[in-house]
Amino acid sequence: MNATVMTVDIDYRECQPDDPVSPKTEVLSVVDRPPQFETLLRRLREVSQMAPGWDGDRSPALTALAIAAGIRAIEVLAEMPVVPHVAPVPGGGVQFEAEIGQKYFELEILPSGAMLVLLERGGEVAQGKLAAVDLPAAVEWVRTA
Amino acid sequence: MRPARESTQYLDPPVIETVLGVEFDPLEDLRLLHLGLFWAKIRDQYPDYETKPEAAPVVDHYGAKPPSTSDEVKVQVIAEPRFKFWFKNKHEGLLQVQADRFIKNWRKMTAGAAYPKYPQLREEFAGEWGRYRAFLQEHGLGPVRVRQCEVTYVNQIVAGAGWQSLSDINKLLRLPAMIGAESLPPPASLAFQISYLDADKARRVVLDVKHAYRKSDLAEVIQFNITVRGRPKSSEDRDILGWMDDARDLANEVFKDVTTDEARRMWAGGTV
Repeated sequence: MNATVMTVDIDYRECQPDDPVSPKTEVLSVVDRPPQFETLLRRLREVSQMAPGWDGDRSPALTALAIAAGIRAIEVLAEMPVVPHVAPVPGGGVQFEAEIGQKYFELEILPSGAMLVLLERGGEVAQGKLAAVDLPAAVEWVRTA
Repeated sequence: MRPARESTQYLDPPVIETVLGVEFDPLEDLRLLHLGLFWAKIRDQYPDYETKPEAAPVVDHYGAKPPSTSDEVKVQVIAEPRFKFWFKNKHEGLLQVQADRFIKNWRKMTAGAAYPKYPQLREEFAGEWGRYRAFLQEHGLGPVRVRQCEVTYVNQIVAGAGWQSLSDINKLLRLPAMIGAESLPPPASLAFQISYLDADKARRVVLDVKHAYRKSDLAEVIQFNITVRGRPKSSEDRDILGWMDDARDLANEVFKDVTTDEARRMWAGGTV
């Protein structure tokens, strides 16, 4: 792709997922959340229930680390003006993608729980690893003109 | 010490976590090193640990007037950061220990795990609490002045097990008429808490009901917690355990009162 890399306010430092394993009994209430929050949780659950080999090859199921990171991402992604598409990624990861006007947003959560982001506008692309704390900035970039 | 009273038996109870806890005045001389030494004593039963941020104290005067405080500003110098330790066994047991807290949790970690029943949990708690008190005494870290105790049951009912939509919640719990109000559409979600104070017994019951998604597997659940919290007669073990027995009996009565016959038949092994 002939693309220029544009500057966005994101720090591409190495991301280590924090405390990824949730206690078995911990729950997320959906009261007072945007409606997209529950929609995204349900979609992530569907993806997490896909059996190994779902891709017709030898992909494992979504990992527990990716699910935990996906839940944390949904807390932020639910603020987007559109509901991102959620899809499994071979290897045990999950991807969220959304297109708003001229902007394209893609967040891939690796099986380790680490995140990669790709932002694109009019042929200009920015991509790389994304620290969880910087996800709101990426979503804000999508939200704003 | 009286034995714990037998309760209604359920083949498939909705309980997924229990808490037996004691909160006391902070042990000012307790250091991280001490908790490491304590871990060495229980490591055969609790081989894993995690450190967590210390939980804030729960201050409840149970309806009594709180002690008056002066306007004087107090600054406390803490020698080292305070943490809470989680000591975990290979199964469902968890001990949480911090400067003012000792909590024994049982958590259902796999779908088929059976609830071990209160008498067993009480016996385990009594043994571990006794061991901790002996450790504190051995290291001159006491005395333990108990502020309050807690018994909590966390119940989860997964979608599909007696309910499909939140309109069905009245099949499980005796909830206010607002759930099925004709002027309203079916509820999309819910979360509420009710606190009941028994000032004479220095005891509080908190019911917490919420529609939620379980983080571990994103299962949609109705979670309802029954928490009984209160002050035992003294800091003696017999009073602490006696208080817990009473609290557990009360939690059982509350469970019967707030759940429907239909739901209890289902958990007892029948069908809805």
